[in-house]
Amino acid sequence: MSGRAGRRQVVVTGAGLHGAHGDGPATLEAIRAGRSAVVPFRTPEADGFPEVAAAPAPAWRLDDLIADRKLPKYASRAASLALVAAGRALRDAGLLADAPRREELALYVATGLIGFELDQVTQAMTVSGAGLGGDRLARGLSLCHPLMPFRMLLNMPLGLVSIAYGLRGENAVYYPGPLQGGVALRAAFDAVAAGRCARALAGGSAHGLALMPLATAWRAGRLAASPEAAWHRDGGRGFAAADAAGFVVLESAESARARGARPLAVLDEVRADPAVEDAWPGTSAGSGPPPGLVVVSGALDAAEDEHDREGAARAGAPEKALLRLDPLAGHAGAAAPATAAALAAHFLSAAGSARALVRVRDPDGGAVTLLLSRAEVRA
Amino acid sequence: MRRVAVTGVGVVSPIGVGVPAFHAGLREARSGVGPIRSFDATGLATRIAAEVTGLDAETALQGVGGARKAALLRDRKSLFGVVAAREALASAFGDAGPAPWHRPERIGLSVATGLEIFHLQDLEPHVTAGRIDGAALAAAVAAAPGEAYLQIPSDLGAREIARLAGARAFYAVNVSACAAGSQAIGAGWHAVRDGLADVVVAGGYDSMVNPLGVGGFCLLEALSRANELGPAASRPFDAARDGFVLGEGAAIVVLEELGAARARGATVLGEVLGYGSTLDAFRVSDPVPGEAGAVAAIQQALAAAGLGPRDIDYVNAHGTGTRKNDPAETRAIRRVFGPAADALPVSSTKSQIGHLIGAAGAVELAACLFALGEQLLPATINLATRDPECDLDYVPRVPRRAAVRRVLSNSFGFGGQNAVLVLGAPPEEA
Repeated sequence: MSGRAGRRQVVVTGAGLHGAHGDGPATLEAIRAGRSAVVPFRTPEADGFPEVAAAPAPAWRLDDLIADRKLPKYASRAASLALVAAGRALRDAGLLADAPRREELALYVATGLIGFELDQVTQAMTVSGAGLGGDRLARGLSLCHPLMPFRMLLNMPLGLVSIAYGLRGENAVYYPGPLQGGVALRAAFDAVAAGRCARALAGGSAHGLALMPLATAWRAGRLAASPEAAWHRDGGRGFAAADAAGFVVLESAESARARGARPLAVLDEVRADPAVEDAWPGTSAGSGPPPGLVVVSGALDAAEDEHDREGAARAGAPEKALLRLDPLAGHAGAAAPATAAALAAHFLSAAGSARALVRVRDPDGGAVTLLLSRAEVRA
Repeated sequence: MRRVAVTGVGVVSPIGVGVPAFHAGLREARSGVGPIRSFDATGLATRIAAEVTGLDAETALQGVGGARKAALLRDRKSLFGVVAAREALASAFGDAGPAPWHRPERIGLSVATGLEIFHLQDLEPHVTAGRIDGAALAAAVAAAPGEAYLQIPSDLGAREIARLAGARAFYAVNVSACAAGSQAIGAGWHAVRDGLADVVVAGGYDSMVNPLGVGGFCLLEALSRANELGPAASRPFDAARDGFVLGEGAAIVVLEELGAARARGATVLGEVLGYGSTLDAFRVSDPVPGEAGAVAAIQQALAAAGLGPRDIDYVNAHGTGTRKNDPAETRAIRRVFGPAADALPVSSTKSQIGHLIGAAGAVELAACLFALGEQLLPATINLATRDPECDLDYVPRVPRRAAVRRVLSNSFGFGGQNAVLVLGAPPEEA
């Protein structure tokens, strides 16, 4: 699937994220120190919805990344998260001030269930009348913000990133969970490896704390009831909901060399397997040095945690290399693979290890596996 | 480089459910547009849409039970997707499905869809004075069967189609709005051509004909308000056009490596020859001046197909009927095709079926297969007075007999996404 003869080596030249711990370096420092940002959470969008564990993202600024002051008004929270994480990845890659090269970038994005701008929808429902159609619907909608529909469109995280940063290459938006986050990374990886483009921006954003996606995950029994339960001890089940975004700039090694960019890591393999019987499908991890970091996300219970531990051991990783992302930073859904990839790239860039492995389960089935190595190993 | 055949197709459209009915609708230049029947649209500025009628959901969902069936019955677009996929798989493989010829690990899924259905009526009992009673909502959510309540994830149909196809190579759900259907098929083409899969079930399903969908587009002032015109309201390239008409439906195609398809004796309906994908990076709802994004996408698709402007016999336009799209698309076609554009037939299937958003590119590709198969160009109906800024041959009012070997299909979307496919007639055996 990847790394086949004739394909180009793909490196990560930029990584950006925004999650519960803030940006990439802050997140890496926090989770390596074992600090958790998971807290008891009650959605402000409804009175009395059950308390769950969650990892809300702290406020962020876009004004140091985007000159267009109007554009963020079109953005939902998920799209705004995408704007900040994508901007940080481009800046990290040295492309924020390089408009001609940015223009050629491919752009692949994954996004989660939408939040439906519930404050607007419920305001529309305050209009009196029978049923939800007819004149009442029209009068209700007239109370809504005129840009509300744009904030609900699933392709807006991609559209706004493209407009904000001037990206014009091949593209697609995928949805709704971690597996599609892997599909976005894989599409970008294939585009660069096959030589269709020199570089690509790939990532995901999700607002898992909005009432609608929260209710969907809660109904499916996927949310931990408390921060303690997110560790799956004593029968605890589920993960902490999160809102987060992560992006990486992927580039052919040749292109990175030509423009003098320093790779953070080599991206050796990207898998987005829709059906996996084994917890850990085979990767080429066994053919190189053991991973010094294994980032896992998406486990719902202690049995899946144990599978992850066994899988990491099979890949040759020492026990201390295993990093369970969710109890520390929450589970970012569609954004989880790219967020984990950004973290792994930062880790390898800091010379933490020769290799890193990322493994994200999708609760609807399937899993994403990424294999990265320190750039010097392959240079 | 491997070649990619289309060996199966299924369609659910406002002018007919099933490929024979869809073809009849194209042949007869019928309109699927009429007053909205699926909800009360009184009071909205737009009260017309192209809705799917005559679909027997119970029959369509034979063999699907429990919570999955309940959810599919509450999400029209996913239902459409499943129906189209069943037809496509049956036309490609017969009753046995792909299993006798292809391993599941070599079958991929690449489908497009749209915005989640949000059942406002599920939420309303729990809203008082603009506040949601979260405890009551949680109780209702907990009591509901499976996903059939409140917010139904749009990939519901995709999961069902993957089950039907036994797809295990990859599973991609594209939500790139108006460009999604073409992108999904383009991604499937890449996958088969590059050897990542031998078969890809690709296409799109969508319906935004619901209160929030129609209401939202009304807020954007993107829809035609020519309610009184009914079937004649969707008027791409016409001087009096005033916006697009929403449609709903699905089209699924089976993409298969040409050699494998021939080896098993499959009927080849066409060949995907090229795909282009670009971004405008300009504004959310305006085409970029100079049409650079659309032009680049068309040029990419032609280059990928190894074709030049004079090799294309027909263009299935994005042709929405909005004031801005149609002249911009016309200029883009002129820029790419140059003098050849004067003799190039271009038509908009949206004039008959409306804008199917996430499914538009897929159903329009099915219209291209019709053109190749029947040597008949679908018409742009309702084109009475041509806009002076739209000066191509739009195949007005009735289909036209023509020699068609290679066609191009445009999809351009909100947010500036452009996707273009090139399709060829079934290649002759060597």
